[in-house]
Amino acid sequence: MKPWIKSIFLMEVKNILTYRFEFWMNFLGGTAANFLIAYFLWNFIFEAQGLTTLNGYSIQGMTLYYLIAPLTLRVMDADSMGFISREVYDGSLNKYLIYPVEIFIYKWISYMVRGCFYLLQLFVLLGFFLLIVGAPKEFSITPTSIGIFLGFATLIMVVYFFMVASIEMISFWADNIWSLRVFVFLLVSFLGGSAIPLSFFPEWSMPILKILPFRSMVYLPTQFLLGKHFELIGEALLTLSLWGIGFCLALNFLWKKGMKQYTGVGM
Amino acid sequence: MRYFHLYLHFIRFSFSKAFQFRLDFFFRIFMDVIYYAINILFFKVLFLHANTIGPWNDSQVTVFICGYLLMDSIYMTVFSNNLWWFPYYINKGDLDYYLVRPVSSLFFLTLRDFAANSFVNFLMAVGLFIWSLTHLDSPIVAWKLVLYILCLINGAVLYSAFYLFSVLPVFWTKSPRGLAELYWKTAHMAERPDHIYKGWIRRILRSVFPMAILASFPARLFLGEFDWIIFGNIVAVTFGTCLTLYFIWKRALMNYTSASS
Repeated sequence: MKPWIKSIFLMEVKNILTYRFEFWMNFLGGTAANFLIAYFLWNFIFEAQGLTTLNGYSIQGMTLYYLIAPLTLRVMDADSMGFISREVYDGSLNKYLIYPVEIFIYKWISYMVRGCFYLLQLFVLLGFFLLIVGAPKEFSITPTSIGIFLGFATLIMVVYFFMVASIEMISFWADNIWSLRVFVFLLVSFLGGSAIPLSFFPEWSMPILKILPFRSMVYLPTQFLLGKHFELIGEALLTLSLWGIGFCLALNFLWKKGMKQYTGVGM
Repeated sequence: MRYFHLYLHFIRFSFSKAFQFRLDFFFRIFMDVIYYAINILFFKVLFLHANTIGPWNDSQVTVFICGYLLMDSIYMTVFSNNLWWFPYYINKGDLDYYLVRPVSSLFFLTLRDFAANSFVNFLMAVGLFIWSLTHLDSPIVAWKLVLYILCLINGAVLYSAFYLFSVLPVFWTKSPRGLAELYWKTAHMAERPDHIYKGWIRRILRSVFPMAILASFPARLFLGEFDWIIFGNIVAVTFGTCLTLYFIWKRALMNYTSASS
């Protein structure tokens, strides 16, 4: 391993842990809030309608889904806010241009460290859930399902990285693009199934959801971890690969165009 | 009156600034449009599988969520830009600029930047709110509607006050954003009708962390019978929050170390 990879890795870990109290409060509090909102909402619906299962989910299964899906989204997003756009805006991108390291490799390592950190937290919380609540009967989390999920976690991080980086490139022409990133995050969150499982969506929306990459980014990896829908692995791989290649090409094109535009003095 | 004139100046300046960054202006509009769409669609999808949520049917929940979006758009337009920069001011020592002005520092800090682009979204939220009212099965009582809107404005103030509470720890910890992220996540509780919460969570949401009071309680006053207990709850929490904020703000300023923070 090249020494600078280790340096970036360690620096990023240090950055994450600098404000430990805030980090853990934000993470645990945020996860708990998300979890509680989902639990209360679905428990209310189950009780009001006297149901034991809804769309194939028991209340325990639904709660577990709402633990894993938002955390998968978090692994993928990995605090990607403030990525390159701010550096283009204030001219601090210059430093990356004179580093002996390719900028996107540098950014990828920083992003990946955070993603892995959240992945670790996902499994810790999953362990706690299974220990306290137990495994819902409709799911079967096995070493195989965990292995498939880990493979997909890596792939979705790559695709999401290319996607967000492509959007960040717009900052060469626009002053401020944070709202565009939030726009994309909201889309991924809703159409990826983090807000509500996609099986609850109306039938007419399914062909659209299948074409878009979001379903394969959150909903399907979550299902794979829960031991369901293994027959869709090929479809998810194909969707992610095609979109990944598309975003990669877009990033390459926009970066080259953007660099011709970049003055290095800030906007 | 002096503060009113000052605020008009803030608005004028904010509009001219917003039009200098045209793309950002439109990006923020897109962002809020998708946020509105997702919140409405969430309940529309839910109602494909449920007939009611508590005592509310589909059209009543739509009034609730559009009320929430109206409250959110008021917050985004009036307060959000200001509160976003708050931790930076503290950590970089830029708060000095605000503290030496001959006006209330809290007024200046929380209202200086009027988000002109979010104002467009505010107009959209008003449109959605009117649209939701037209789909309501029951007749609309004028004074209840006025009270509902006033309570939603109050909700925006409370939402901002609690956001401020979440970033005030920066005065002590010097961290980049304090507990803002935690607040954004937990504040999602306000996006759901308060009927769903039970036990101690329910008590917390109507008192010390009053997310139920932002949009759900106002909707209950509008959609159901007027309830003095709910109204009293809103007034008491607003009063208590303002007092606490004033007290903590004074304490926090004593801890401010200016440029070397």
